[in-house]
Amino acid sequence: MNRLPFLLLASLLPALALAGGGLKRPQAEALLGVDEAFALLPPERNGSQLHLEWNIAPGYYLYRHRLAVEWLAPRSAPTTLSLPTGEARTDEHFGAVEVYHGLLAADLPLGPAAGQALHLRVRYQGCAEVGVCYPPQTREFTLPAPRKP
Amino acid sequence: MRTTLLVLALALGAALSGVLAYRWLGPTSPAGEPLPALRFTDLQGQPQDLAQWRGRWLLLNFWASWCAPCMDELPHLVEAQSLYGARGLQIVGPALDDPEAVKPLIARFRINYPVLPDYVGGDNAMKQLGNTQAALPYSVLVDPQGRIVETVLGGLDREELLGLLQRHLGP
Repeated sequence: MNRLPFLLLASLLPALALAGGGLKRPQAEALLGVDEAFALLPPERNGSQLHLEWNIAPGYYLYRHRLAVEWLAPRSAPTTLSLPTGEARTDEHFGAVEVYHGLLAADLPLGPAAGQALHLRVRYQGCAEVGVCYPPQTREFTLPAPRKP
Repeated sequence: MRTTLLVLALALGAALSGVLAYRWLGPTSPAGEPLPALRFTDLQGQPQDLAQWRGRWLLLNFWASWCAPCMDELPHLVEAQSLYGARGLQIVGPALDDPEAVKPLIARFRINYPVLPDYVGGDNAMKQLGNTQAALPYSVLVDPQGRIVETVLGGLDREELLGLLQRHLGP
């Protein structure tokens, strides 16, 4: 008698049992922590710009309209992020929105602040495709003034 | 034949241990535990203690204006409060928001239960109640004796919400 089907069944049953308990709806323990879901790398200077990068985990997305930079020093630096075109979605509550998946790179022209020390606050907010959203996040970064050549 | 039966028995045993492992080692649901003492600020900034609703079925629905799945379920919650209010249900909506953000939504959805916009209080309470990532929406049903009976992460559609209430409050 061919035992292969039974052995296959035996190997699959535990996995099926685990999956059966966990796939009904989102489970808190199955969700990534916010810093894993939306990993924001430390900002880097790139010439006269500041480069920001998020690594967004599969199954998660960030809202374009929830991305923002606030300068703590110097306060007069520009705040308009240069962002790629995201995936267009029509949301019943928010209207036309754009969302980002995967790697998201954004640049911020520094203008006259390019030669100065920088202290900024980055805001972002996103959700998991399984139907839950994470609270808005705020991270602060300090960058020393660039060395003069 | 004996080997086949042995393999099947092992498979069923493994499946059962998978289920049990999931239940025991998986999500740490606070179901069955007493609701901790919690208070949230209301729209006027006054603290509201959840103990004031002891003796009623309490459905805590954590939500926010920045959470689309939360707003999807608001009409169902409004309907549920209308249908089950006389049978002892009190829905309360702690919001991870400021009062000005939720006021237009209270009017738009004609929310007929207390909304308590308390960002820090709501965030802390959700973590105490088993929602470790503080993701929204999150609902917690508490019986009249103050014991947590079910927690639900993610949005509830109309059938799911009414089903939850029917299971505990009756049809």
